[in-house]
Amino acid sequence: MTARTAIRLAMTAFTAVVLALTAVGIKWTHEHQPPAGAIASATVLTISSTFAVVALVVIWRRTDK
Amino acid sequence: MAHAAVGTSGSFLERLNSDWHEFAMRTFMVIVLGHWMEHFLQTFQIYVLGWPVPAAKGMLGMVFPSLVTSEVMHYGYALVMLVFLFALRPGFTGKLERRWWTLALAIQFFHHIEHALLQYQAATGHFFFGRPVPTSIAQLWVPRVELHLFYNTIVFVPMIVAMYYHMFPPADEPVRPQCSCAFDTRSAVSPI
Repeated sequence: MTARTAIRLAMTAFTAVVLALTAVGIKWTHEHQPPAGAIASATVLTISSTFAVVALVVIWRRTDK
Repeated sequence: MAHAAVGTSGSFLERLNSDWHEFAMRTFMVIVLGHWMEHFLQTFQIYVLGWPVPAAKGMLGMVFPSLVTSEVMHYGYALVMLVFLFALRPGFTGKLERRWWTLALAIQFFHHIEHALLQYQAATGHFFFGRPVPTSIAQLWVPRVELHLFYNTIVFVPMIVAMYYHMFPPADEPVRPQCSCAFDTRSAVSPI
């Protein structure tokens, strides 16, 4: 395994944790927070997930070297 | 790629962004990942274990509750993040890595302002927006735990991408790195 692949996998593992946590968080906030707070929480958690997915796409798409 | 000149002279900031950059980045990552672990654990305690929010203090917070409840600690960490992001930025010499690192710096700057507002309220006892506790701007809409997770993610993700480009510069990157962070420059690096 190359260093690049190892780093990519480590970053992917981290991102997977973020995605899992935000998914559970959206469910939890929906069940435990008032509607307005739950919507706001779901919004920021979704944005967090989107950032994490963007990072994954960026680090895996580069094959120029 | 041949390693650029890694000097052993110059100002503190110049050395921090050349021959000390790799060590400084590693140190910064230990701090950031340690902080992340605390937030991961805190949200795990709430979302998965079902702990009440006030009782969920991560790992160190269980032993030292003031780490979670003290606004000074939160503000201090935000300031440390900001200083590291600013001080280590010149070492990101490539176009793409600099762009992503700057994005992280910009987001952290706003995050730091939010913590500064909280710190001011905690220090003066004058709470904004008619709230009974220190409240930041975004907290008007978003609960604190989720807001912290959000800020830490949107700061750290651009850092990840910047570090990736920094460690593996694109082949067409015209600017040569000044430090030893890139993987294919390590064999040519002088010891500090």
